[in-house]
Amino acid sequence: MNINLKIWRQKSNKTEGKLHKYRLENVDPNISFLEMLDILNNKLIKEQQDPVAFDHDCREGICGSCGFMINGRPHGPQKATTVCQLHMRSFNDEDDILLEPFRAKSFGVIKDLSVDRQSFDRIISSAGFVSVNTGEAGEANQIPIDKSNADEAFLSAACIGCGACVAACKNSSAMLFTSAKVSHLALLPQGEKEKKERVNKMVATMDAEGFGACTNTGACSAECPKEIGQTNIARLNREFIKAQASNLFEKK
Amino acid sequence: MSIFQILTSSIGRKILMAITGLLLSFFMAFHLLGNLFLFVGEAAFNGYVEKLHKLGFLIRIAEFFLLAFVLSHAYNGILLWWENRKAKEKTESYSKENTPSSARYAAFTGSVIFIFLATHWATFWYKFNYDLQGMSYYEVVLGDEVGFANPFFSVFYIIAIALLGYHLKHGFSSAGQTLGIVGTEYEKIYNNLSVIFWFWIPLGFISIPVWFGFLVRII
Amino acid sequence: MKDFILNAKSPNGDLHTKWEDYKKTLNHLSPEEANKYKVIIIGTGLAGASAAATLAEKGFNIHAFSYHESPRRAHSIAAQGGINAAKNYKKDGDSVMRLFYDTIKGGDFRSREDNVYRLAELSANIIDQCVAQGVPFAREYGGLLDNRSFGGVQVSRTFYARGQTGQQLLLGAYSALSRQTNAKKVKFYPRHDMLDIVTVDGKAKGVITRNLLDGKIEAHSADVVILATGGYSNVYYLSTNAMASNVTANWRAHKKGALFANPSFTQIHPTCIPVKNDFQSKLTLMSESLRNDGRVWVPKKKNDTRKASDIPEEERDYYLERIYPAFGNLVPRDVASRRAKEVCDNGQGVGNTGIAVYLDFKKAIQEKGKDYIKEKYGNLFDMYQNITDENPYKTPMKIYPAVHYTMGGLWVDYNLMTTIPGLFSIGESNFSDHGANRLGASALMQGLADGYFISPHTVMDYLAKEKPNFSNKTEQKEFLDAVKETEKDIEQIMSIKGELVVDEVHRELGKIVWDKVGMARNKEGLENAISSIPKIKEKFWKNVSIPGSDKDMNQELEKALRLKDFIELAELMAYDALDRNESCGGHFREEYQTKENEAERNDTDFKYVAAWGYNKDGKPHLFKEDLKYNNVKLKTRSYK
Repeated sequence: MNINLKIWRQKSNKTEGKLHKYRLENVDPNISFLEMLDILNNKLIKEQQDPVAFDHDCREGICGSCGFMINGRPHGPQKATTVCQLHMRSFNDEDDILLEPFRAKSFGVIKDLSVDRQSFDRIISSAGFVSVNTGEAGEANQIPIDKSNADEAFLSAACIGCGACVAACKNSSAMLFTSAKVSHLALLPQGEKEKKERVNKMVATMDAEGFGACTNTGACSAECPKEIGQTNIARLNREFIKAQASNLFEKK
Repeated sequence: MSIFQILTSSIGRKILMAITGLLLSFFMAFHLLGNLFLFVGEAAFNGYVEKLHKLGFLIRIAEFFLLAFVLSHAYNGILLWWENRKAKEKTESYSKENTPSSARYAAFTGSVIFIFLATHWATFWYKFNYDLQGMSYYEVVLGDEVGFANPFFSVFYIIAIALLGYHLKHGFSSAGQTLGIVGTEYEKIYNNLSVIFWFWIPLGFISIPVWFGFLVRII
Repeated sequence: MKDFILNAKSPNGDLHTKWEDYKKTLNHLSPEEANKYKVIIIGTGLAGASAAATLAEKGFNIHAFSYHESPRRAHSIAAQGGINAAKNYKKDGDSVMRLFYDTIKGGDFRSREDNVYRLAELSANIIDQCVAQGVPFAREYGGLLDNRSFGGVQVSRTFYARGQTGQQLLLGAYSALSRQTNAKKVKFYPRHDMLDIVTVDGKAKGVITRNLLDGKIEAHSADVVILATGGYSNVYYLSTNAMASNVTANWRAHKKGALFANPSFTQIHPTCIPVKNDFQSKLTLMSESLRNDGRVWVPKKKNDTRKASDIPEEERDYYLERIYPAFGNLVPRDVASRRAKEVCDNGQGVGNTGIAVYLDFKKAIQEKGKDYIKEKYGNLFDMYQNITDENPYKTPMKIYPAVHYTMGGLWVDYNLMTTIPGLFSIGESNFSDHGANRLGASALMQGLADGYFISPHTVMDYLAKEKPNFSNKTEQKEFLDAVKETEKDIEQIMSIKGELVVDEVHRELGKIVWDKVGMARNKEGLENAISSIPKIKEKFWKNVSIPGSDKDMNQELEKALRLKDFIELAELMAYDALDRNESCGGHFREEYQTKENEAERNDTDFKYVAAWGYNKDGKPHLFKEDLKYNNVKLKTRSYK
């Protein structure tokens, strides 16, 4: 198959970028999308041009490194799939394919399709943990946990932190990402003690990083490669309300 | 966090939006009940409005709160819209495929509804309170000056209420998320209730201009 | 080359209490004293992140470096199957001793007794720690932790979180690390490649890094350096490792005097998705837990082109069940891999390339139901279908072995310190616990044991004997020189301006290493590799092409800097494999096999760790650490 690519090229965050056109012919439909970009880059290097920079690492859909917009959709057209797991068979011969980086005020462009997602790390480091020092833990089976709760916590914890939710959101909100971590820990007894502090700090950091507010459009879950659900956001809101209500109450 | 900090956080603003929105929706339900007296007849409607006016001071307090809810809802809505715009960077190809249009246009429908409310107050409310000019309430509502006998006015009314329904469709689902109802045992009841509010109640409002403005004349 | 007397520094005493007794003799620092020291950690995967968090909790100031943007991207995240622990929750007779024995035996008696026992002993603490962090392990309906059995053992001791155990454990360690970042005890340097080790008076006192965003070469000094940089499977070009996994940090340490142990001990994982074409950039592993319910087979007839469904039961060769009636499809990885190669070499392979075998779930689906299979392996099945466009619920999977893990690594003593004082190596980056073959679900265990429970004690002991004065010494001559040297290296690579793309050279190197130092090796092939690898090195230095500037983000330069070290490592691997005239674990020398094609180990001559010293001018120096077995009896591994 032949494809017509339009790729966002930007040397650094200090320079302006623009779209460039490239054409690739005889692409094997069974190769992955990133292997297609490898082929393009090989070609560019042979022509003494700068290859397209993009983040990627495990190429198994779990590390969360890869991700950019393909025709306006984070990670491209296939549901529940990261770019690295997308294959060229998802496209047709002579398709136009437009690649842009994930865009949000809180995700600066580093180069071409690579963006800076450290704002996510700062949200986690504000309170996305259980405060337990190494060696202080008790016997693991001391606290039985409902299988249904454990399973649900797992589904929330499956977030790979790729940033597709922010890119999919018309407000660049990080609510799905933040709520996945809040939910994961709120569902388990281990997270119980720090519940209130956690939700307060994580929401405050999320706001301070410049992410937009959630207007409950659901686009984030629809585009999430790990299908993190909207119920996480509702749970984050619930946790937030509970934390604030009990704070106000306790002060009186 | 202080109450001020809570209410200025992104979630806090959304909670305020949800609560004021829900309260306004409840008011709307009562408002519709009153309006339906129009179908009973002139005396019934006039009597109903008279009774309300006799409450006097209480009505003024209620109106004050209603206005405060509307302004708070609008203020937070505009602020969120503005901040969300700032958070987003321009894209060449952003796809709207997974964002429902009721959500995308919530700020727009909200603005139209606000204009409608302003006209609503400037006409019916003002006339009812200060400028009856010897007419009954019933005559004002169905008259051709600002009432449903005026086709332009009726059409504007129908469009505005339809947009209100559309606004509430997003509003109710959004409030369910924001108030954390989604994912709990109350989700189903809430969803059923919300259909009454975003579909049946606006339909009730629309039935009035449709009947008195158009159908009555044809029949 | 200076002489080493390889001293593993194993403490004396009873195997069962050795570690606990030893810990009591180690020097301790109070948090106030610890606060005066600076610790550099390279790599923030399972081992690095857990060590960073734990040392920070003890009061040390940690500077952690990663070439990733976030610790959560490390390749530990891709481990699927699970983590072993001798908890004996299933009451099936498991014990620390049994896990210890399984690991030693699985490693084909080429690992150190003391280290392995300590690993087995600490395994239970790891589970406790992770559960306390909120790692959502799979649970039974009663609410207790669930276990499953895993390749090569007959008890259920593997804890898991669906097929994403590595992810959940890494996120646990990452959250512990994040907590310390928040407490300002850890400073994280994202997108930094470590390019050299700096030693002062023979001790490791810092590193040279390259900032991947602007190409700046920076010096960092510290009182101790810990390498947690993972394995080197990418020397084969195609492997299941992440694209950026590399040997550079370890190789730099090796060049500065750290011995490299058992480099040719690499693990080939039996259940990977076969190579499909020349553009393939990496291989995808599927958890070997699949072998619990999947049956491996090939057609009995050679070059059989019929569809799997058209081949009747009696014309199928379930070769693992046939050869190993006791373990069947659950034989250890090296055995399963080698047998797959054997049937494919024999012309019985399936698929377009003939380089694949079937993994069939038909029987399990019939007996246990589709829902059971879906619950257990759903995500693996989806992944398989997404990559291959075939539905494994209906047609059998095609699998083939791929390089997956490297047992070899920097030589370390009982304290996990390399032969450079003050340089520690933890996790997959060291050689310590898996001998010649690693058992399934043991990599996560080792990474976390090293990071949470071993290195924090031994590093503290080392530091307690050092004066804390290396937190800010980058103006010292040793650092300035190292910066200059690194800058010169980069300048040289940038100036080549040849015609070959880095990946082309890498692919060529990978083919040699896979063919000659892969699943089966022989003298002729290894000698051939030793003579052809220098030609690749020459090709690299003469004809590679790096576009752009080294002062920007330049992903081709990053690859080139990694490849140049892989080339040198490949040569060492060949030397190591050639030296070892026996077959053991993942190292199968065709000349040394029994009549039944089983590995023939030679304990008389090769019961040692081969630790290699760098030699700039030719053949590397071999140092031998004799392995002593006081608690287990050397046996021929048999899974029949």
